[in-house]
Amino acid sequence: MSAPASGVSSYRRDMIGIVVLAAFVFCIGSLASGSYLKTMLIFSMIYGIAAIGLCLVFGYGGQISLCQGAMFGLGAYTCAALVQRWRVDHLLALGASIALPALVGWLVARPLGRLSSHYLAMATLALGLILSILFAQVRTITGGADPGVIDLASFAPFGMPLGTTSSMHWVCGVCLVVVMVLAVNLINTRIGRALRAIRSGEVPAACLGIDTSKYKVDVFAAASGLAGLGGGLYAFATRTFNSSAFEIGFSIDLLTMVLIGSVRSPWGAMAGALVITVLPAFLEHLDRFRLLSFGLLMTGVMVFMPDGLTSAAYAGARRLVKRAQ
Amino acid sequence: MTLQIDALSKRYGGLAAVDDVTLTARAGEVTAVIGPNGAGKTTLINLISGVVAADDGTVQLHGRDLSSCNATHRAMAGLTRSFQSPQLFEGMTVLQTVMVGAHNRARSGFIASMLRGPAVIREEAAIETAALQALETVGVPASIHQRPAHDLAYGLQRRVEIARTVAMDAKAILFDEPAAGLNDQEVDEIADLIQRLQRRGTIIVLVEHRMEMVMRLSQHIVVMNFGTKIAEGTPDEIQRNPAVIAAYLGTEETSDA
Amino acid sequence: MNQFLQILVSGLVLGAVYGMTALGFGIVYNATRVINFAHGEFVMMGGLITAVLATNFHHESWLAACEAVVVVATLGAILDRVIIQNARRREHLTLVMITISAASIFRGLMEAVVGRDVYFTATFPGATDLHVGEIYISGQAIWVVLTLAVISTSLYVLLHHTRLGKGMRAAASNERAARLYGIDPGWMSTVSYAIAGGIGAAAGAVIVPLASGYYQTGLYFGLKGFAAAILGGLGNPFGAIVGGMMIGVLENLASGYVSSGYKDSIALGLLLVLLLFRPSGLFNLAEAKRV
Repeated sequence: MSAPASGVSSYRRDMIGIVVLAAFVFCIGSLASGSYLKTMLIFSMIYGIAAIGLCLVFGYGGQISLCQGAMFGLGAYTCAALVQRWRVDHLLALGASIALPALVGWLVARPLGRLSSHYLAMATLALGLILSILFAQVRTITGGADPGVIDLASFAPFGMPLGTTSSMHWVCGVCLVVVMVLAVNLINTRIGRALRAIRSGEVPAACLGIDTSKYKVDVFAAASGLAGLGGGLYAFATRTFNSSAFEIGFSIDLLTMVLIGSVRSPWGAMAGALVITVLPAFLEHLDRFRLLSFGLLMTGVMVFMPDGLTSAAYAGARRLVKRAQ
Repeated sequence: MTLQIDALSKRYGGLAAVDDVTLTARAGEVTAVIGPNGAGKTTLINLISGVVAADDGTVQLHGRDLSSCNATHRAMAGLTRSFQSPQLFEGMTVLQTVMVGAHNRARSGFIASMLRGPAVIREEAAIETAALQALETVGVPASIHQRPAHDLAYGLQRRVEIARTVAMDAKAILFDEPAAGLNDQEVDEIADLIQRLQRRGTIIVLVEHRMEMVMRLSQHIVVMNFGTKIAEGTPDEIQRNPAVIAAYLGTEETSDA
Repeated sequence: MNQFLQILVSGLVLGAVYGMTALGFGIVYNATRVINFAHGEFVMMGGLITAVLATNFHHESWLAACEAVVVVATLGAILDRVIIQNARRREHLTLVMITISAASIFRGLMEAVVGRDVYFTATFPGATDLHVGEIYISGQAIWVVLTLAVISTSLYVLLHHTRLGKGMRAAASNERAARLYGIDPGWMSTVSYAIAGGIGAAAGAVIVPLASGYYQTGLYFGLKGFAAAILGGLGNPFGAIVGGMMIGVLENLASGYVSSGYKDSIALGLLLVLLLFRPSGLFNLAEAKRV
C-alpha cells in the first residue's frame, strides 16, 4: 500500500523534519557538557509540547484557547501531588498529568464549542483565570503562591534515576519527538483536514457530514492533554515551583509562540517556543520591556502576517527562490 | 427513492419565511424551486439541509425521517448542499478540499489517526482515490489539483465545490443558485454536470434564477412566493401558469431576499 | 443586617465601575461588532495614570483623572486607527487575536513606563465620608455615583440628540447606507474607541482611591465589565449598568460571607455560566452570538 500522493510531499517533508529533530536532540544530548544550553532546550521543548497542542486547537480547530497555560499548571500540580502525597510511580504520575487536563478539557469543550470566536476567547480566559485563582487559593494541594511545591522528587520512573539535566534532556526530547509525530500524523489524515475545514467554515463542513462538535471537543481535549504533559515534565524539571508560574501571562506567552511560529504548523509552534524561551536570555535589559515588545510583536504579526511569522517568512523565501529561478 | 418534504415551516417573529411547503423530489430527476427574490427559496434549502431548524414539518430521505437530525447527521445520511457562493476551505488545495468530501468513507478516530497504522494509511489512499475520481467526473484537470482552491477562476471553484459532493457519494444534493456569477459557457458546463449527476440516480433539488437553465434541466418545478408554494408542475405547465406569471411580473412589492 | 447593608453599599459602588466598564464594551460592540479585549486595560490605565500623576507629579487628583481620560481616549483612537482598521479585512478570528495582543501592548506599556509598583491615592477632594447610621460610605463613592450619572446622561444625549451620535448609530446599523449619507464608518469606529477609552479611564480613575493602581488589574476589570455587559445584554446601555451593579453586589456578598480569596472567581464563574447558558443576557435585546 502506497502513501497518498497528495499528502506525500508535505508528509514526506514532515517526516524528514522529524528525523532532523530527532538527530538534533541526539546530538545535543551526546554533548558532554553544556548544561546551560541543555536547560534552555529542556524548557523550550516543554513549552514546545504545550505550544503544539495550542497550534492544533487554534490553527486546526479554529478555537482560541487562553487557558492552555492553566491546563499546563493543572498537569504540573497533578504530577506533583501524586508523587509527593501519594508516592505514585513517576511514569504513572506523568500519565495522570496528561489524563486529568485532557478530561477537564473534554468536559468544558462541549459547551464551549457552541460559542463564537470572541465569546470563546473570553470564556477560556475566564476559565484560565479561575484555575489560576484556584492554584493560588487551594493551598493544601498546591501550596499556593508561597511556598508552592518544594523539592519534588527527581524524575525516576520505576526507580530509574533520570533526573539529571542530561537525562531530562533525553526524556523531554523523546516526548517532543513523539508528540511531533502524533501531531504530524493527525494533520495529514482526514481528521486533520476536517479540522481545517471546520476552522474555515463550520456550516459547509457540517453539510459534508463532518461531526464538527465532536472534533472540536476532541482536539480541545488533546491540546489540554499535551499542555498537561508539558506541565508534568515541567514539574520534574524544575522540582520547585509555585502558582505564579501559571498565571494568564503564561497562556498569552503560549499563544505568542504559536503566532510567531505558524498558526497551522507544529514546526512553527516549536520554533516559536524556542524563540520565546531563549530570547529573554540574550536580551538582559528586556525584562521590563518584555511584555510590551511581545505585545507589539504579536500585534504586528496578526495585522500583517496572520498565518504566523515563520510561515510568512517561509512563503517569502519560496517566492524569492522562484524569482531567482 | 425520494426526498420527501412535508409541511415545512419557519417563522421569524411574525414573518413566515417558509410556510407549510410540501414537495417530493425523485431520484434521477431534477426538481427545481423557483420564485421571485425573497420567496423563501434559500431558507427552504437551509431547512431541508438542517442548517436552520424548522418550526414544523418533516424531511424524509429514502423513507428515513431526518427531521430531528442536525446538518451533520443529514449529510451522513446522504443529504448535502451547495452554497450561493462556493464555500471552499481556506488554505487547502483543490485535492485536499475534495478529499474532505470523502471524509466519511473512513472510520479511523482521533487516536488511530495520530498513530497512523496500516488501516489509516489504507483509508487515506481510498479517500484520495475517491477524490481523484470525483474531480475527473466534474472535469477538473489534474494539473490544478495541487493549487490552492481559492486561486481558481470562479467557474472552476464552483466545480470543485460540486466535486466535493460527488466524493461524498451523496444521495441527494440541494443546489443553491449554482449558476450565480457564471458566464454563459460556464452555466452550460454546470448544467451538463448536474445532468450527469442526475443520470447516476442522485436526487437533485435546484434553486436557480436562470430560467433557460431551469427549463432545460428540470422535469419538475415548484414555484414559491412569500414563503408558500404557489404552483407545481412540468416546465411547460409552469410557463403557462397565470399565478406564476403574476408572481414574477406582478406589481406588488416583494421584499428583498 | 448592618454588615449586609454595608456590603450592599460597597457592592453598588464597585458595581457602578463595572457598569461603566460594560458601557465601554457596548459602545465599541455597537459600532464595530468587535469585542475589544483591550478595554479592561483602558480602565487600568485610567486608574494607574491618575495615581501616578497624583503621587509622583503632585497633580490635583481630579486634574490627574481628567488628564488620564484624555490620554487613554487618545490611545483608544490610536488603537483603532493604526491597528484595527489595518486589519479590517482579516477574518474574525484574527481581529479577536489583535485585540488580545493590543491588551498586552497596553499592559506592557504601563509596566515599562510606570513599573510594577502599586499606587495608592487619597479620596478626591470635595466629598467627605458619610456615616448613615452605622454604615460607612466613603466620600469617593459619591464621586463614583456622580461620574456614573454624568457619563450615562452624556452618552444618552450624545447618541440620541447629536449628529455625531446618530451617525454612530447609523454606521453601526447599516454601514453601506451610512456611507451613502456621507457618514464615514471608519471615523465613527475611531470615535467609538476614543469614547470607550475615555469612559473606561474615567471608571478606572474614579475607583483608584478605593482599589489602587497596578498594571495587572486590567484583565479583571475587563472580564468583570464584560460579564456585566453580557448579563445586561451586550450593547444595551441600561442593561450594562444594571448588570454591573448586580456583579458588584454579588462579588461583595461572596467576599464578605464566603471568602475574599475567591472573590474574583465569583464574577468569572458567573461569566462562564452566562456564556455557556444564556449569552443573550437578562434583557434579551442583543442577539446571542452563535456560530
